[in-house]
Amino acid sequence: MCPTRRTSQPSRATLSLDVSCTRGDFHLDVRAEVHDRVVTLLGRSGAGKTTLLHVIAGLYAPARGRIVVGESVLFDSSSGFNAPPESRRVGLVFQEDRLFPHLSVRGNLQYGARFRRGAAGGPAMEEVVDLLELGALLERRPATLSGGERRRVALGRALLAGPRLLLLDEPLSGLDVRLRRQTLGFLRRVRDRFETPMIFVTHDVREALQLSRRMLVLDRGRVAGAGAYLDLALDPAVLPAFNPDDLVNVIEMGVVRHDRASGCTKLAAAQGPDAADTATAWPQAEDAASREGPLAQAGTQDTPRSSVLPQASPPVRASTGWSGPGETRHCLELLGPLLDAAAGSRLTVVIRPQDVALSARPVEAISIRNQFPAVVRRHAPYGGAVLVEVDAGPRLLVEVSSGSFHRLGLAAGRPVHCLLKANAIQVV
Amino acid sequence: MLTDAEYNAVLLSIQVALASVALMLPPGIAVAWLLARRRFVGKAVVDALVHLPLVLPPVVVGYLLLELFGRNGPLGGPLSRAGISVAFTWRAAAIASAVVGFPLLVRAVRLSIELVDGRLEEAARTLGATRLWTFLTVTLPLCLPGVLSGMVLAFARSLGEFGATMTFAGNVPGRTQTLPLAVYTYIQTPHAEASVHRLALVSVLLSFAALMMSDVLARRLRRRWGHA
Repeated sequence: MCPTRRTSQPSRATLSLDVSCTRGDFHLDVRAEVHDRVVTLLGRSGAGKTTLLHVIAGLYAPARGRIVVGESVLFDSSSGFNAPPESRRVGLVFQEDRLFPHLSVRGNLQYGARFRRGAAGGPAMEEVVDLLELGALLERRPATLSGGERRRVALGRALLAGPRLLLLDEPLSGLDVRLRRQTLGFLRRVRDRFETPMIFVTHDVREALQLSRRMLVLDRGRVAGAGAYLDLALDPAVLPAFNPDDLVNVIEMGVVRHDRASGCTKLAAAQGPDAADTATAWPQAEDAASREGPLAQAGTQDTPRSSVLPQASPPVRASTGWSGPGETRHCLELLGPLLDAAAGSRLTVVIRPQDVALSARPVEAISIRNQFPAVVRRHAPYGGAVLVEVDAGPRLLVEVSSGSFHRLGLAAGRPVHCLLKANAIQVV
Repeated sequence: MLTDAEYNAVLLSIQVALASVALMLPPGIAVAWLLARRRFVGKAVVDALVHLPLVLPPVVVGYLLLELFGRNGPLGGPLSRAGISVAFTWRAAAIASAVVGFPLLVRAVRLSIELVDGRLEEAARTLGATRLWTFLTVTLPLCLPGVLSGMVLAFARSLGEFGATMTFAGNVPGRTQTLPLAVYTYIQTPHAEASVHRLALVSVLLSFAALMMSDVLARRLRRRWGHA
């Protein structure tokens, strides 16, 4: 075994990257320092996401650069050091699962465990089997599994090898809506149960936001930006790296009750870790701010939330069955279309920025069912329109035309009312 | 059924064929893996060298082996000083078969290794398996059908080996007279047509059985992986 080297001065970064390489016409040139435990790597197809993962895992050697995971140097072109993949302890869940066809599910799961040896920790077989609900599949061959089952086995196999960093390449690709939702649930379980740092690769902001609001955005082989989602979306330098349809609001909500007579469901915003929109909510951000690197630069311009909360709406305690951190503060409540979900259950809703309208005053006698106060925080040009971030409890991106933006005299700190049709609330 | 001499020739042929396959299997798999998975300087030369016995007249192969393993040859010298004689023994027949069958084995194994999805090997590496362990636990099991068919080809080629064996091992009844040599000898002998017929029939049956067996084994393996 070829051991990986330790850095002379321990860095607290999860992953520190400075790599460049060329594959045909494609140039990858990535410099980034990741301090968050869970981060999504976002980019269009062809942006170099998969190549970057393979470089980190050691399947493809960059022309030059340096890769450090935790305190271990995995690659350093200046000293000619290149740790082979087997000694990197970087788990990679491939897009195509890559299960071993000649081994049973059990054999696949156990494959990496024998190499753990010195590596302390790492989850136990039973724990992973329970968590991913693989118990009934253990004696089956991969060829007999469904797409979602294969994905779970691949995930379990990577976890059981005891990685110090887990990379997941498009873990939801190729699955239908139902399996996507189910697999996403398993991914979140894994995210919350283990302390392994994880990087989720996806081209879909909706998916990304359901796993982490901290992202690294890759555009044509370069890092376009890194940090909290809203900071990136409102950064004119990063905005072009997003697909126009991709900029959405993804909010965790709890089902409060159904009103069958009026055909709607009442929802209340959750305030778990998923509700953390910007860097201020993340303890790591302060560390990051004092460092150099793309992640550190983002998200330093936040003001404390409490000072901008609208006076009009008194704090409400979340009245739903699930329990958040129990903090008493403004809680966004929305009326959505009648949903097929039990009261008290938790779900994820998507609201497109162009579906929210802003008004200076409350509007009476209007068919739109959702009207809630908010405060403008930031704004950025967005094509011919303006993208506005408002704080309505959770923070929302709202798209308004530049004409309306000026007519309403919108500016940071300005209280507004948001209008949202119940039908514009989509559940994913 | 068979006379003692015919029976001995058949047994010797099987013994030589099994020994030759066992002899060439480890280097054959190693060379096949090198050719299938690695890029290195001189790969074309190695490839050509491996295929040389396929196009060289077997008598020439036998002659070269005789030079190599003769009492004063570069390999035969040290071996005879160690008390091992090779030329004109059944070992020589096995070596001759191994050399002539080598390209057939390598071709079959190489092809089957190339058909193994290299991405599975990458997956094994990221899970912590070294290159060797990856080969033993992923590549080899997955290319087993190809290895089997290569072994059968080499076995059958050995059963038919004539020129190199005749030159390197001789045609000593009971010691180096394999089935083809016995058939040739009986053809030269007046009134031995019955022996020729019987041995020809045994040849056909042996080769046919070997082919059938490899097919059945390969199919059973594939079914186990759920490919069939």
